Amino acid sequence: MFEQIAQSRLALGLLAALLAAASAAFFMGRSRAVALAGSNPRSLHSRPNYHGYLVALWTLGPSLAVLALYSVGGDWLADRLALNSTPGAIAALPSFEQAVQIDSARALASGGGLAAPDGDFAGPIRELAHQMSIERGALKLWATIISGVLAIAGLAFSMARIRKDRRARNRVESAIKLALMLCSGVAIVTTIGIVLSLVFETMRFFGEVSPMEFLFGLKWSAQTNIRPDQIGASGAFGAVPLIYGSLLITLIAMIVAAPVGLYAAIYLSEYAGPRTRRTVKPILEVLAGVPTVVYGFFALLTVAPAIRAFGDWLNGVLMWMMPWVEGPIINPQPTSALAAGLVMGVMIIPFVSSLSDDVINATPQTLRDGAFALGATKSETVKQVILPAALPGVVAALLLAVSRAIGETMIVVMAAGQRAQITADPFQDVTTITVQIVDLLTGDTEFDSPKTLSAFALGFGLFLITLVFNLIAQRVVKAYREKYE
Amino acid sequence: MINGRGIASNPAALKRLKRRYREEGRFRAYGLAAIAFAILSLAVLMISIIGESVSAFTKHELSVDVMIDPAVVDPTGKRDPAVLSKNVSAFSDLVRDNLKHRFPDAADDRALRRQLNRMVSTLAGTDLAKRAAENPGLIGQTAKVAVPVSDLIDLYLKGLITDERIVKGGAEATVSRVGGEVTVRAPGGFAEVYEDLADRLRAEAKTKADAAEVSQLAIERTNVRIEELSVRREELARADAGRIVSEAETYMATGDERDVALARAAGAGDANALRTAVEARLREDAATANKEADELLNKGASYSKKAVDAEANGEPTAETRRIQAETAYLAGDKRRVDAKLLVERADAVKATLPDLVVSQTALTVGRPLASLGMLAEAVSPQAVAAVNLQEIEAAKALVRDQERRIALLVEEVGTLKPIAGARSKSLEATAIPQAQSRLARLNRDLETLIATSLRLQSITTGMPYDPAPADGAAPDAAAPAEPFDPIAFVEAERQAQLGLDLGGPIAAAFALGKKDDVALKALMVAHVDLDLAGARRDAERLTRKKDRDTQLADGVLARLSSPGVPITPDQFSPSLLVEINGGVVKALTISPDEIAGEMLIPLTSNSVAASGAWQVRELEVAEADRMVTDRQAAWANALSDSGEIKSVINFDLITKADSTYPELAGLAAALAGSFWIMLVTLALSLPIGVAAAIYLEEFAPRNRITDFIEVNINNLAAVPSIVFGLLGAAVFINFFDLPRSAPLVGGLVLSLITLPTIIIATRAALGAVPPSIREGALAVGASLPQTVFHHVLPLAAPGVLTGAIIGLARALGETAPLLLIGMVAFVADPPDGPLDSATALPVLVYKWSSAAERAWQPMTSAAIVVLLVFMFAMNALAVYLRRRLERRW
Repeated sequence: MFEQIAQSRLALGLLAALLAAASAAFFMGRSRAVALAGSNPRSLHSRPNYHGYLVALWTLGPSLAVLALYSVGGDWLADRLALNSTPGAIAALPSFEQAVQIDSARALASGGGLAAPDGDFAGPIRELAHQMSIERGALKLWATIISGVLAIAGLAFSMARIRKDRRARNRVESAIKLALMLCSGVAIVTTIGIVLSLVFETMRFFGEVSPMEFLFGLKWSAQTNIRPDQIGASGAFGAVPLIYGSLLITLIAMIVAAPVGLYAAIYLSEYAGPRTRRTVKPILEVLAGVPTVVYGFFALLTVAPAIRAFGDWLNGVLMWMMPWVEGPIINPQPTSALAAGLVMGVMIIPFVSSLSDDVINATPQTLRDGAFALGATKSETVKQVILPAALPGVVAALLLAVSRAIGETMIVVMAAGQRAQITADPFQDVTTITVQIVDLLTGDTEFDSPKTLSAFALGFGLFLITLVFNLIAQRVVKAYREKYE
Repeated sequence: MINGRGIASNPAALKRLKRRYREEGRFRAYGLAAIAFAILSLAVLMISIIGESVSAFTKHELSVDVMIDPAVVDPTGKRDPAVLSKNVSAFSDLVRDNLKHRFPDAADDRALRRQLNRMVSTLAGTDLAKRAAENPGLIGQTAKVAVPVSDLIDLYLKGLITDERIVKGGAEATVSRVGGEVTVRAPGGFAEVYEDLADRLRAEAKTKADAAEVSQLAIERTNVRIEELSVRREELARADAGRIVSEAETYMATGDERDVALARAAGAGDANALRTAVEARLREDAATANKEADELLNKGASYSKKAVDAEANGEPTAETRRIQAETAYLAGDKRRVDAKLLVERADAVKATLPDLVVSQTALTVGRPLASLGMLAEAVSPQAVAAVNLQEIEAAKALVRDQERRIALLVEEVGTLKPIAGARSKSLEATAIPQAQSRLARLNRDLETLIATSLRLQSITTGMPYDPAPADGAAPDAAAPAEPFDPIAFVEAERQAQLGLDLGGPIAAAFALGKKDDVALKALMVAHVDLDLAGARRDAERLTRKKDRDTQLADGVLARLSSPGVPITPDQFSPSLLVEINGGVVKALTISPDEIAGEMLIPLTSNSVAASGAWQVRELEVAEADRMVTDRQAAWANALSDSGEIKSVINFDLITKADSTYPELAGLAAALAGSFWIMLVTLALSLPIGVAAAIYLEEFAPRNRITDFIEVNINNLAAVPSIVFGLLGAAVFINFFDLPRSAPLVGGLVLSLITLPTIIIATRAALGAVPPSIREGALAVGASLPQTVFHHVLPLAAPGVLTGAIIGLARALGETAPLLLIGMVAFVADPPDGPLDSATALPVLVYKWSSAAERAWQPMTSAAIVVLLVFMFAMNALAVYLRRRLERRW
């Protein structure tokens, strides 16, 4: 009997029943309150609806909690219980073998075990699976009964307590507040999730590769797609070339984006009339809204070939100027740091310009007026008064832009290349932290090789770098705002 | 100012003022330039992508009337729809047969037939098969279908393969013969294309001449290098032992540390030390093999766990996982056997007499030295024979090893049988036959070696040769004799080169250990000699190339100096196709008055073609440089002139799912995937985000915790999206075991990314609601939650909505996090729900952009255009809502 229960959709049915019961409870509570109030509705502390909500909450809350607990851990618990009586044949196996057989039993018990169990263990596996089904059925039955009982108890309990002076509204409102609070906790949970998952996998990675090698090693060759029977391809995990690549591309991007973004912001806030601002700002926003994969394709399709042609031309000129040098002076590649950096620079222009625009606008008008009164021209005012005053904000904007550039992925994946090398030649292809993360985790992911785990170590590094930049920038901006408010 | 002149007339002040105004203008110009740069970048981006995408919005289709032959498409006669719809290749064959009837001259020749087959898509019969499956009554009848042409023909017809120029025939043309070789005569009619071709050949000759010059430069450089190497060789030959030793030590260091150490010990003849070292090394290798075996077996276990899970979830990856598990197990078990073998060998070495170890090691490390000896003696048969004897010994050792390995494998199978049946079976079925076939091969090698050895011995009888390897490098190695057999010499040199590459450092170490100065000097000199020989070869090769280029250039220029001489287009010239009398002739020789060539499409008549009734089509890109042949081009033009190939709007782009063939691929599956992802994202991030924002803005007390939450949210908004992808991979996929590439997981990750945006936007919207509203509600006795939900939130709704739409638009374009949770898999069908395998639009863009075929480029651009249209539509909606609903207080 338990086995049939295990296969049935009992819990799902119960959920539907509970929802129905909750709406019924609402109306019951409401009418009870109305009846209590009789002809004098003002004698109630809370309006009847709130009494209804409260009854529904009491009916639904505890039993739903039980169901949620069961659906998360029920099968796991049942299997645990079943394992107490693991058949001897399986118990005698070495641990990883054992895990496999137990998993097949689990799959069989879940009803998805389409494959006949491995010939040698068919018997014991079936036995174990049978045991698991029985435990699961029993547990499911228990969960159903408990949550049903809780629903009825909740209903009865709260119905019994409906009185005229019951503070139903306050109770419901605190429940709502609690729910809202939990929702705002999602942000913390996400951060904790990021940190924990990254730290956990990074620790596992450092169990296999020493942190010193990772942080100071100059060689990176963590090939993906290693065949399982390939021997000795353990790879090298020195992250310096990747960090260098990220920084090189970020530098190129900032060389483009910082002056262009800053000048654009100054022009828009100090020179442009409202009409120019109205047209130019949305265009810059479009630039910010284009997905990065599109920028990546643009880099691949248009910019990289142009950069390569330019590099070839430049090489020709240099060779002509320096005839004593043998071989090419610069050796442009189909994908290059320069192409990726330039496009990334274009991508973060709106970022720099809108943030700087904000801080420039936040400088008090009195500063400008003072400068004008002394006879300064606009450019002198900007250069000698506004920018020094807005400097912390501008620096913060640039920091945020840098953090964004370091974490940017698709452009570099598509246009920067795969070669982990340290070179000063921007026409060469380099690889970055983000490129390697994508490279290592795309396709088939196994969570048990240093290659995969290294992606998490890289991700953790990336997270820390951007976190520091963001925190500094936020702090600076906050202090700056407070100064002028 | 007071006297009407003021400081403004002070010349220094005026000058300064002028400079300041110039400065002002410059500053302003910089600002304008910055904005212009940003707008220009956007314009270039849009123009290049939209321009590239245009060609993907149309496609060429070939309309054919196909007689659906039941014998071809349904040999069983059961008319089973499932079978019919799967049998796409038979329907495609029908379409191709139809083309063969259209161009019967191509049907007999295999190469031509293949070209003709490639005119239409490989899966041209897809639609027809579907139609026949839906309506089996069609079978046996003639159906009119439009099939997509192949991607290359499509590109050609769109003008993306080659530029074309059409020259109308300016004279009356007579055709000499129909079929085979054809001559078209039109006095003066070909002058234009002739001159064109001649110019091109002249330009080519110029290029060749330039190349010859470059070769000359390289030759000079190589000569310098030869000079340097010769000097170095002289120096080495004269150098004293000390210098040689120090050079050899540097050279030795380039080799593998352990090998070099062993070789040195072997050379020194320190038997005990060597035995210990060899044994230690073998044990080390065995330990590595054991460790690797453990890793592989663990991996196998984790794969089979995954296989079981995948099967339980009904995922299609189960089979792959099982195979992976099997491979890993097999490799692990094999590696375990390797480890055992290595341990045995180590034991054997331990038990062997030390001297024997020395001689065995000498055998292996001596080989590079011996090959060097061969070079030194310029292929003396004795040297070869000596090496051969060594090879025989080594081969025998290999055979013994392999036999032992098989024995160990059998043993392992025996041990595994009771605990892991499947593994023992696969080991038995795969590894043992492999090992046995390798044993057979080794035995064959051994036999060949023995036979060669006997032959060599018969040659060298009476010429005793000391086979000790170290003496292989004879003292006179420094002066290689003239090669008496060039082919054998090259072969020996190649081998010696190989020996030096692989074992040069080892040989150096051996000789160093032996303190054999003579051999050492020979080795180092031979090392330089090899470089020298290489450089000389380079110089020779370059000279030959230079001569050839010069000759070609001179020949062409000399020939073209007399006007009107017939020229033959070469493989780098543009193709000239004469379209005349309903057929096409490809020019093979051309003069201003006449073209002789091959018939690509038969002419319908032999009559005289009037001026203007015929034309020459010039395909600018040479036939060798493009994927569409001249014949295919002629066919495509003929078909599109007759209206059989038509350009139609490419609706498949929207209605079809991804395919491996660009002409059949579409965005349907990706659009559906993106839709599901967006749905999940919206369902999660909007309620949670709004709730969080309400709490923080309206209810939360100002304390450390809320401050912390705020910092958190601001920081999450700036965390790179790829980090969220890592979170998704680690938590949702690995920990919670949710299915890979499911929209549910994608939506979960994207909603975490969108959440901060929505929270920040909602807070701004809530904050913009004036306090008077709240105070009014509170004043009439509403509780705080009532105030918020009944009064503030409805007023803030437009702002919330705008923020949500903008956040979703951004999420729609996210790619990197989806890559990390496995959404890159090839998905042939649109997903049916949030747990089905799916892909998303931006991911498809990424995937298509990395595909090699040229036709994917416009497809990628078109996909981007569709993506951008959706994004702009969402943003426009947000702007519209803001304008329409926003209230100013």
